[in-house]
Amino acid sequence: MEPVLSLHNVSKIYQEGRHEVIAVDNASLEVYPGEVILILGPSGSGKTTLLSIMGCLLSPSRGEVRVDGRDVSGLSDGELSSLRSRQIGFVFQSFNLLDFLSVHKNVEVALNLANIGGRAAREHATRILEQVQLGHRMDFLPKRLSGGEKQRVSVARALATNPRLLLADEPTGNLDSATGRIVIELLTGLARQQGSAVVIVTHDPRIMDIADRVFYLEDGRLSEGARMPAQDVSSRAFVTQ
Amino acid sequence: MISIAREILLHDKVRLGITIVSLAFAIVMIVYNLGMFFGTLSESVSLIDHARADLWVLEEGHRDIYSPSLLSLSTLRWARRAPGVVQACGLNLLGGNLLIQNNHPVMVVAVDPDCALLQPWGVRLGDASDLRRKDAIIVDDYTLRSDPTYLGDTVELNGLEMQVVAVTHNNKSFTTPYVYVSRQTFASLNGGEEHFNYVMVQLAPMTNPEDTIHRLASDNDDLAAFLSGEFRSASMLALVSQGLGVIFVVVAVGVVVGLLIITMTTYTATMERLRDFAILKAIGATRRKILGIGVEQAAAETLLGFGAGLAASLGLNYIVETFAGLRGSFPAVAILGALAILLALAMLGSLISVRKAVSVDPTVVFRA
Repeated sequence: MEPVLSLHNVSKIYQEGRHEVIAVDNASLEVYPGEVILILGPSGSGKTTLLSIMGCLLSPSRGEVRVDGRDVSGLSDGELSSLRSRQIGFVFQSFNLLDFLSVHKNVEVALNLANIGGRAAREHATRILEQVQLGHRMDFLPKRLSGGEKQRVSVARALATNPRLLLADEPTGNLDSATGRIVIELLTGLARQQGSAVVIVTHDPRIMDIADRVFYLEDGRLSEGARMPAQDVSSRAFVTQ
Repeated sequence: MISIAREILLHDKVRLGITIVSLAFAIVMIVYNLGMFFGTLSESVSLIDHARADLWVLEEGHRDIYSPSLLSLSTLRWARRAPGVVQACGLNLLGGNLLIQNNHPVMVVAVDPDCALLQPWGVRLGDASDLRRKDAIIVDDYTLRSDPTYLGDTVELNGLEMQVVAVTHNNKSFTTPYVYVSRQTFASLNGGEEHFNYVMVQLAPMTNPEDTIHRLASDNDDLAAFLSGEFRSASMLALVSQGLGVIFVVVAVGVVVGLLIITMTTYTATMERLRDFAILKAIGATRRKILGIGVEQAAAETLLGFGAGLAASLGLNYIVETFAGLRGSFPAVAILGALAILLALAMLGSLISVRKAVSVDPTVVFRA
């Protein structure tokens, strides 16, 4: 089976004055369809940079990134945008909903960007919002929603185009633990249903049990960790291989 | 497809309202002043437009209605005898410090009541042919707006008492109304001298006006003749060079103010929405799509502002015309031209801010 996402010896180096800052150091990773990957790491470990590279929002200084077998290094801005709109879904810590659009239109706009318009887009947006139990909030503006509802809209938007890869950045970061749990289960459940691969970047070890594989990121270095059994989540233990 | 530009604009209706009002203000500066400019130009040559002359004869060196000639009776006679001429009439215009009722400035038009080439137009009361009567005068209703004039009233012009035999509407050169007198009455006003400022010539159909112009030039070294269209254009040009060009400066200021408003509004709106543009980029919007949103936003604001500004300009024109008698002219070509130029300028102006949105780093979406 071909990986949906593969990173091969990827590094990202920033120049700050005369000093080089290595945000991601020689990271390698393969993510397969239907798989849920968790990347744990403290603040400043390079999680956001790594996620930006995975989401084709940032080019690596070194190494190779392949999405669905395609090397993304030579792609134009238009091709990368097209790749993001059709193949990659994003869920953010701060939800990043467009505050001037209703809940329904927030989802519909993602479909529009993937060149799905008109009635098909409207109906599909309605369907996916019903799947995340927001059928009764479709005409609301995001400011009228609770944090959990906002994140569910974000999940609906990310999954609306049936992407091959879903990237989630601290999806539970702004939610209480119960709501966070509901959202993360919804997210992974729907993604698995669609056969999408999921990469969740977080510093919250409470959600480790939902992952098929767990990675740890420290000082830009990525290493695969042992999966914790579901019943041990409360221990928040983490063991690197 | 959802129009993101429209959604952004309609989301904040107060901001949209303020933008439209600001733009409308700038558009009024442009459109109303242009309207006044065209209105002034048009009224400044209203005599030429209402005359049925094909040619205007003037002294050599004179070429517009603002530089009156001193033509003798022999010039009129020559014109009447020239081949192809159906009719020729003399015309005098006397302005300067002439006051009617010792208070209201007027321009006196001395016409031959039997000449069909130029007669008062827009006669509201009375009969223009009564100008043949001794000491008769035709006044415009603009002349004595605050002091209504009726048929049969006696008015004083340059010390002479005259009787109003007709009242016209909108016979004026911008703010100076015309009063009409016969040539005989004009002689009394002018100390009895028999001369003309212009000779109007009507040619028979199929007569080549160039032949008449050449014949005039060869027979009279000191005279020149112009086609009516040339005379009209030269008169407009003279008016512009005499100071009407100032309106151009006002219009230019309006364009700059309008452009600044569009640019500042679009810039502020874009900067406030920079994170939204980053979100859109992250979820798959191309740079072209972002550019399109910015341009559509600026175009929509400009069109709405232009519509409101045009309506306000026409309203202002109606008010000014009603209370001050100053009428603007709003030719469709000029309005469409102004709209096209403004749209183009708005697009250019919006590019400054849209460039920011296009080049926004989409990774900011990961920052809380």
